[in-house]
Amino acid sequence: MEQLHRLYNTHVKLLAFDLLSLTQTPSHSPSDPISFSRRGTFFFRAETVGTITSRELKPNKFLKFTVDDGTGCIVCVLWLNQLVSPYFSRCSPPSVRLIAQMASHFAAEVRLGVVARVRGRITSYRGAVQITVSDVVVERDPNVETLHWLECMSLASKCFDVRLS
Amino acid sequence: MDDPTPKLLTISDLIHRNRPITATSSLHSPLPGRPICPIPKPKPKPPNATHSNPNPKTLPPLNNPTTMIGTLTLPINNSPSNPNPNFRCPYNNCLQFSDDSASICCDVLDLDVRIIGRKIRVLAWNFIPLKRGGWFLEIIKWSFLESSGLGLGLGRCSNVDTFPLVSGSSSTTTDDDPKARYRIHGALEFISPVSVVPCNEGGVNSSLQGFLLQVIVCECKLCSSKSSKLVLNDSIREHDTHSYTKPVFVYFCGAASSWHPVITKLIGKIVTVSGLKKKLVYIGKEESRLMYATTEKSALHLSRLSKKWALREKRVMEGKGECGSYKGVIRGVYMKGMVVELDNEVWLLLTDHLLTPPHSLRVGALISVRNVHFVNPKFSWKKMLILGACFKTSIVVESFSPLETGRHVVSQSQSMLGKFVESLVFSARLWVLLVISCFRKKFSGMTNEEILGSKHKEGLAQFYASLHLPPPVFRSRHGLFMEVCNHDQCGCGSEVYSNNLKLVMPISSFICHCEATWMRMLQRENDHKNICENNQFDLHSCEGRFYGRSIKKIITSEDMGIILLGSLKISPSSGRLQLVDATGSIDVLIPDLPLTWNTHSIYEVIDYSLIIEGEPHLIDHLGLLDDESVSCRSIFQCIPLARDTNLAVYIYFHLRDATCRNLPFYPCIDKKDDFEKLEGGAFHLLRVTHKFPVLQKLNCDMAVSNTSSLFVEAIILPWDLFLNGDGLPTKVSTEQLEEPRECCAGENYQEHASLKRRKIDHASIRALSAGVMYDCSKPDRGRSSCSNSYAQFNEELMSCNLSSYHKISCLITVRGVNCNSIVSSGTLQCTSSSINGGGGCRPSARKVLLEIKSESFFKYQFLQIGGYYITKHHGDDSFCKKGSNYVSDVKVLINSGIHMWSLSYAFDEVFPDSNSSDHRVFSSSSFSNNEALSENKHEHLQVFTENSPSTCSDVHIIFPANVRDILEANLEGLEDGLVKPIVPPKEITNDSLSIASTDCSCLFPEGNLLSLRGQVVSFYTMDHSSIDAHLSCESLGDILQTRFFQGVIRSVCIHVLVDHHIVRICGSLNKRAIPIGFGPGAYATFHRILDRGGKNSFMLTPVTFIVINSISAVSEPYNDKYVDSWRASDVHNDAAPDSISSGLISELIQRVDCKPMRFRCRVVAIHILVLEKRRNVKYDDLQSKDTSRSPFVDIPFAGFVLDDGSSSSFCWANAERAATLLRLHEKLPQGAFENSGWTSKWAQIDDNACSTIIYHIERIIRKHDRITVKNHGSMFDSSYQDLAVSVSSDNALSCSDENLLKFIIFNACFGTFWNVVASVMDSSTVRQLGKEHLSGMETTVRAIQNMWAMEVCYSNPLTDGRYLIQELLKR
Repeated sequence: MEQLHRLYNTHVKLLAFDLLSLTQTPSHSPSDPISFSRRGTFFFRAETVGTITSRELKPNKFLKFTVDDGTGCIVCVLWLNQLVSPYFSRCSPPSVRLIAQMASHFAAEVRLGVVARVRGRITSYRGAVQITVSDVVVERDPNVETLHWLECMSLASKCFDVRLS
Repeated sequence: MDDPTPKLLTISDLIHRNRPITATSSLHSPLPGRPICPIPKPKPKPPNATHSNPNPKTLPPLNNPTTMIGTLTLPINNSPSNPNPNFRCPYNNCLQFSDDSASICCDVLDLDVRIIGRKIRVLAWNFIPLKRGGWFLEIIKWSFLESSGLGLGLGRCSNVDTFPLVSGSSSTTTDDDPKARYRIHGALEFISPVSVVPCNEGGVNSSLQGFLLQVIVCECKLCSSKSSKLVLNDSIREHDTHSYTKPVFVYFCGAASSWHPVITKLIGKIVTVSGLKKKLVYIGKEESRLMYATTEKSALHLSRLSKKWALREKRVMEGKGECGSYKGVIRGVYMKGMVVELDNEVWLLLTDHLLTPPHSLRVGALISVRNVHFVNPKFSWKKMLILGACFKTSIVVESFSPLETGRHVVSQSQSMLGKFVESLVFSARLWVLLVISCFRKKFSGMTNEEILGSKHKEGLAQFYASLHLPPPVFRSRHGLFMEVCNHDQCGCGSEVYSNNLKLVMPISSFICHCEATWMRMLQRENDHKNICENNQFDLHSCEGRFYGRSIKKIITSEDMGIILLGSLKISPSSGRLQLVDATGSIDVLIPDLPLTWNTHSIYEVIDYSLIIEGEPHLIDHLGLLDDESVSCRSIFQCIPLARDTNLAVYIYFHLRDATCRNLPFYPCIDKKDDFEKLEGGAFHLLRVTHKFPVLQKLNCDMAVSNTSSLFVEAIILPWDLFLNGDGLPTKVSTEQLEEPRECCAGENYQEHASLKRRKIDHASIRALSAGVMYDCSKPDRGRSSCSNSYAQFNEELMSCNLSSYHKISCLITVRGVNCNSIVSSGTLQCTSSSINGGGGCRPSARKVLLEIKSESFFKYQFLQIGGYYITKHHGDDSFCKKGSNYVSDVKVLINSGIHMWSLSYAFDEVFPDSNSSDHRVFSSSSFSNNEALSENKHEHLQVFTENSPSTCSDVHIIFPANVRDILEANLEGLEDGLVKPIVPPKEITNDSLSIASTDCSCLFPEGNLLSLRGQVVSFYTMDHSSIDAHLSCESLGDILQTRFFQGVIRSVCIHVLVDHHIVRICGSLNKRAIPIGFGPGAYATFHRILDRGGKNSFMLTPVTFIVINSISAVSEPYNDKYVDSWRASDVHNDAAPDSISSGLISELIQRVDCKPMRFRCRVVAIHILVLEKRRNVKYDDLQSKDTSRSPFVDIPFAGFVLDDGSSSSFCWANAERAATLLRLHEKLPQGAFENSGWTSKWAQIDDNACSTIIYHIERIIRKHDRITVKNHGSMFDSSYQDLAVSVSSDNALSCSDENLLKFIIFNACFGTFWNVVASVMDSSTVRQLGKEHLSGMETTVRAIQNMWAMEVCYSNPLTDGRYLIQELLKR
């Protein structure tokens, strides 16, 4: 079991077409009702790099945007409801405020056409894989996209597709 | 049958339009009838057409289908009844197309001879206006007007068409005329151009126009038989059975010469010419040859079944001048059509003025060149193929150009230059044409006539070329007949190689070429070695930051094969010495620059070293230029080359090796003037103690005067030099001096010359010196001939009384230009009365400040720190004050009227050794860094050696050996003005080189000024953010400066290897104060830098002056060794940096060897952070905002969660590494929290100093000694961290400060990638660390990998990407 969840805390780098084709299986964990796997390896968090191609804002609720990395478009959801969400009620109010400010800052950064690096949890909405965003960094160096592809390839061969004995 | 719709155009319609046009619509709607020519394939687009013309437009088409109807005729020779003067082209050698309205020159693809004289319908054509007036029609497709057009009414026998060569005659009567009874049948091999020769016919002198052709005939019975129509038919029909072996010449003369354009197209075909007569033709004065000549009855017979005959050509071309055929697309036509570029670097030379290439020889056309000489010129600078056209060569256009490109018409008049070019072998011709083209660009101030010459006057280009061309490349010309008939004997095909012909290039093209060369070299190297063996291949680290490392390449002129020509000027913008021409300029380093250099002279630099330096990542940004070495195209064309790369390109040469080409039109001031200025008399002796760098004017700074001046500090020595002027103008032993140059070419001539000279001097001086000091009471007496006779000189000196040490006699050699030296005698006389012979005399040195005005800036270049100079004593000049007392500390204005000569001295006792320490300026014995130099196998260019005999001083004094002690004792005291180089403290080892050890309590930098010499290991310019990030306070004063000099002053950090120790020199440096050649690998002396008392750390000051001693290309590993030793500043760094491999965090877990690894990862969250006030900082001193920069924040302990995509891990770090991971040196993001009131307070501060995060941390820590931040929230979700801040002091942390701290931590998690070198930590070590730093606070050690950060720096996506590609490809 531990072996299966070895990547639980890791933001894996997967190309969009891999992310979108992850196998979804119901799980018993209350926090993650659905498990995502590829060739027997489970993934929980992901990082993607690509161009923002759509943006849909529900003020004070969420920002839904898509990241196109050249292999596919992955939907990302950035929550903006921290101040009202019961999930944060156990955190200190200043921290929650800070987190909310961070989120709105990310929302402002997400503009159509920019290349962004997005980290978050792999989730599913109506059967489609999406990323629930934890942070967004806008990249200015055009080389990072290529590097991301290479890293995805490298990690797949060195890490994800390798069954540890 | 024909489409009735096409509009009928007339020639005059086209002429009226007078613009290029194409009508090829019919090509797309195939008409029935005879396919005249195969439908042209889509014409090959000329490759890189953009090179020749920035906008290569295709010919504009006519919108509607059109046709033209007219008659195709042969050229009309000198016909006075020419109906339209417009159609006359200079060659008078083109086919004509005429309709009722006008006539026009034309060319026809795949000419069918039957259309001559017939009315045709032109279906597809191009109309091209010629550049110098006139027009030209290119007929692509046509048809006979009458459908029964094949009935020619001429002698038509079965498949043979017969054409009378003279119109109006009938060829059927050939048998009747006994004179015109000869007939030849064979393969047409070549045809000569049309020429006019004098002839004597029937006793009347006249001129005859005609051309020669060679036919290879068959000697079989049938062909040799007397002609009859039947035989003719048979021989044509059965040509397959013939054996064509015997060459015969046929002279088409008179009216038949108009057939030239038609016959040209028949080369390689089987032809029969009947009605010929045999004639003796004089081809030279005495040589005659029997050949066939056309008569009025002559006729041409062509078989329709005729197959092509393979020309007798060699199949394999060696490029030694063999004749052959070439087919290619024209890429460029240059030099008025004399040079045609085909395909890729195939150069067709059409330099002979008799050649008449077709008008359709335009860029984009496909041409076939026959009987052309293939020459491989073997130039060192370029591989290429030259096609040399001679009188046998013919050119046929196979496909017209679809481009709107004009056609030059080669001028038929022959200038002197033209004759000169024609007299050369082909490779030399191309070289001369390149020189001409280059000169026209280089000397744009000159007229064309000055460069090219005229009919009777030699131009600059010819003058220059004849200086360089060796005699074998010239060949005598013999006239057309001789060269055609005795082709091989005339040397046309035998190419003499002149591979030492170097290319002359415009400087702008040269720089572009250099850049391309540099990039190619790097690419080649990268192909060989795995570019990213180490992830840090091209990066240097300095305090955790990485900077691109520049790569320097030194290339010799031999390898370049290029000559540089230009004048020497000081750049007004950079203040640097440059070689300049009209196209551009290149920085130069001249170690032996005399003051006498002339800005008007043109110097030819043949032997030089080219240094190119830049950062390798530039390759990616520039892309590779053409994969060509030198582009001749760029020389023939004037392409303005935009240069925006940051490569440093400069050349190094000795002026004594450069030839001052006293080229006509550029008056070169005779160097005699300088000799004359140096006449006998008294001279002040100066020693330069410092040169001040260029002052940067501040706004509103009244201290700096408006007019720009440069300042040099010097001391006036209490000695005056008296030169015996009479000897000066006499040149001695010039032959002797020049002799060694010949016998040791390439060696240091100066050394040999001086050695030789010194031998003589040595003997002579030794002979005289029983006593040492001479009181020459009458120094000028009877010295007139001393320079001619050493013996006499000796006698004179011997007669002096030795009574005092105030005067020292010496032998003086004055260096002249072109190795002329003058030997004279003189005396050194002490101006101070306090001198004594015991060596204890310390005459006071008088310091002066020399102010050099802009018009004399070259004197600033000439003066060197530590150098001795003499200047004429005028009795009341600026260097003396009236009366006998001199004053110190005066400012002397150096204007153009004050001349200075450099001075070196030696003692008679020692034979000169170029590295001897006999020449006392700097005692360099304390510097053993020359060892490093000898280790370095790379080329080493000496730029500045103080006063060594090999550098060429203008005046060289030889003192008798015995005065050495006295002179040295007296001069010793004078060196106080010089700041001597020091050696860094020996006890310091590399390991203890720690930045943090610098004491930072001072407000303004204090310390001693000193000079330091060593090899530059690395040199970084820091951008503003990194200046801000500069933690140590040594840049404190600097930042103040930086603010004032935004843009001009750059903050730099220089690592210098001095005596095997790395020292760091930081501070602000004016861009203009960075000398040419400064960079890694250079040996440099830093004059007047501030010793901060820290360990091996120095500071640049506004008066710091950097002198380059030598330049070398440093090998990478050598460089790394020292850089890495600097980097190894952390105690935890056990492993050698080289052994650190890149990997994944998940791999670290599996590793057992505990070796550190390099990861590319991001910060996900922060576990714990401890911030402390640094101990031993007296912050009472720190009052102002600026001073708060001093790093009194310490991070003893911090835990980060890092994630590289393979796994996440706890990474523990302290100090600088923790600060880097927290992004403390970066700016506080301004736009991040516009809506939140609490941060805008800080974020809106524009001041650079206040916008870094460290500033805010310091502000907060000032109130609280120790701050701890713990994350109680998620460790793996950056946005869900729940941070708790606690302080150790009693002061409560304000809400805004707490928020700011939290924000800073969040900000650290939203950053980009880091390159982290870390090693595995076991959990007990982590617990121990936690106990140490958190005093009771228990750290929870998770079941996750722990590691310790040893090095943190920014990652470079490009480098990392390369590394990954290499890695992926390996699998």
